[in-house]
Amino acid sequence: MTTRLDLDRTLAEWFRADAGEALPDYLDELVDRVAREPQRRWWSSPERWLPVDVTARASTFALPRYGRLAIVALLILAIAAAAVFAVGSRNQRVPPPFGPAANGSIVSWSQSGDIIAADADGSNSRIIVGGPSFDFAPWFSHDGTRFIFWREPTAGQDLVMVANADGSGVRALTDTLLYADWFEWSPADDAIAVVHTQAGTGKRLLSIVDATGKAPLHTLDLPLGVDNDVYWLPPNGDELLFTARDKPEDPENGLYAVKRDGTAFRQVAPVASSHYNNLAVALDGQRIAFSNVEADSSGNGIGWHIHLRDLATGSDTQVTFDPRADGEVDEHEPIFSPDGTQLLLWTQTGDTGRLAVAPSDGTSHARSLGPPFLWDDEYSYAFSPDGRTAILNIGKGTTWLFDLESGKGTRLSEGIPNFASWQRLAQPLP
Amino acid sequence: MQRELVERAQRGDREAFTDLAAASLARLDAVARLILRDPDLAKDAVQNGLLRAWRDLPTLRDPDRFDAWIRRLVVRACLDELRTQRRRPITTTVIDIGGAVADASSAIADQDQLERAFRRLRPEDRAILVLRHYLDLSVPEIADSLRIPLGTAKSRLHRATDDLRGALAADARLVPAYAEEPTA
Repeated sequence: MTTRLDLDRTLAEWFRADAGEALPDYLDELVDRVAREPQRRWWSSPERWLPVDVTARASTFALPRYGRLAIVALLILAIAAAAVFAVGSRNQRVPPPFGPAANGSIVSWSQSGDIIAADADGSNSRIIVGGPSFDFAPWFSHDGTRFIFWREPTAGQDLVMVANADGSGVRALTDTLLYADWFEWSPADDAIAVVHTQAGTGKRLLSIVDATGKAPLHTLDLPLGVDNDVYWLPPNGDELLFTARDKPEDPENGLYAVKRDGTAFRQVAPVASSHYNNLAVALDGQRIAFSNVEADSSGNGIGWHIHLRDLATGSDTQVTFDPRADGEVDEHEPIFSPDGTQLLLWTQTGDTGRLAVAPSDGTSHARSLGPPFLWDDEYSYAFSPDGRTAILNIGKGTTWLFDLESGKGTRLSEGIPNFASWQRLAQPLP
Repeated sequence: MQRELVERAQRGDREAFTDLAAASLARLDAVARLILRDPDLAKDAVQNGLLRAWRDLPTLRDPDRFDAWIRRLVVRACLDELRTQRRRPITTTVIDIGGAVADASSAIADQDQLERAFRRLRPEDRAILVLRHYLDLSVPEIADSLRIPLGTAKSRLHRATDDLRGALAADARLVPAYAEEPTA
């Protein structure tokens, strides 16, 4: 009779012989695939803005000597708004760039590189940009009339494309292939900020793409390499906010702003190690949320914690949405609701993650939503434009919609395969 | 050195990730080939696992756990491959050769026997045997790699070994009329 030890030994010998010493020949293929694949943080912040009333409140603190200028600006804005309303009433009503809006289509992309859309309830999934090209990462404009996406004619290099909301009118906005990392519409939807990697040096560049495609790509001359999180600072988008570092390998990064023409580069928060992850920016252009990796009382002495920072005063507050967040629980990736009153985030306990919703001022604990998921599952989440629903994707194609008032979740029979961008529509007339 | 590479890759440095992948590719490929018994499936699984590692690297809390984490991703990708493979029908004709059958494991099984018996195991059992006997992982390390409780890892390792022994015995009782199509 053979002992278990004999079989163990036989297995070990067989495995060693069978494994051999062969070197796989597909590293280059893998590198190509990696080159065209964004990292998770790139997907994770579909809603980032606080409501209009925050801006209005902030403007009341303007210094008196700016009062006349403010009145003139308000008049200009009023005239512009009237013009937009007049045009809109004749043609198509669109939502204001920030704040709650009605829920339109949900766009995403398939693994084969087609842009797909579904109705607001997740039903009626259909391809709206198909064909042989590999297209991915659609992202709706603030007014919901168009979306941008990447098209990859060459492995790892992409063109910035735009299409109408229904997938018609596909056209390239750049004729330059970019090693693309990130893009974001300006508040007025007239330009797109693009982060891309410079071939050879590996430096991350920040460029401005004209949304009409008529002006050439304009790369800003910045002294640092830009990280993946770049946002147009509300309310008017005069400045871009981003994290940056000297070299890609530097652990320290800082928070910076620059005007869209590349001037007035300034530091807005101190350089720190592994801070400012997953930025979310408030509509007033002052309040931001992010997660830091920092010391805590957990077993390995380090954890992820969410911070709120006022860019005007520099005050930085760690907020805790789970009573165990200084030890057993990490908190990640905050996203502001459209009305700014809530944050979506996910909490991590060991290997398990849970989506949660919490007041954005950190005054009370988070409420968990939906099933737990493994922390290294693929996941993404977002508020709906009206702020009443949260969408959660787990893995490739398991999608939940949660009613945020009741907490009730509905799993879609036909899931959405990648992160979703949700079209904003004008609210119905009262 | 590896920690620095992981931290750079977490910040989006693709060259750093390439270095990490290159350093672990041969070992991961071997693990995948041993579990899947098919080099093409193994290639898919390793690429999918590493691609997922790239995508999710920013969420890796402890860079020092990169090796264990990437191994876990590749093993899970292997299990996904096995579960999604369409199983082709197998037609075998069993001939009862009657009489006493030698204890298959009393004479150490030859490689073909091992191959056939191993293919009959559940995906999780294949993985646990490869982790234990090829990578020499401890039971706690196996539990971590497969995300299962320690007790489950112990019992599953025991069961996998017993099942392999049983499959070897069954193999010795069968004389296939013609070769089985591999089921991967």
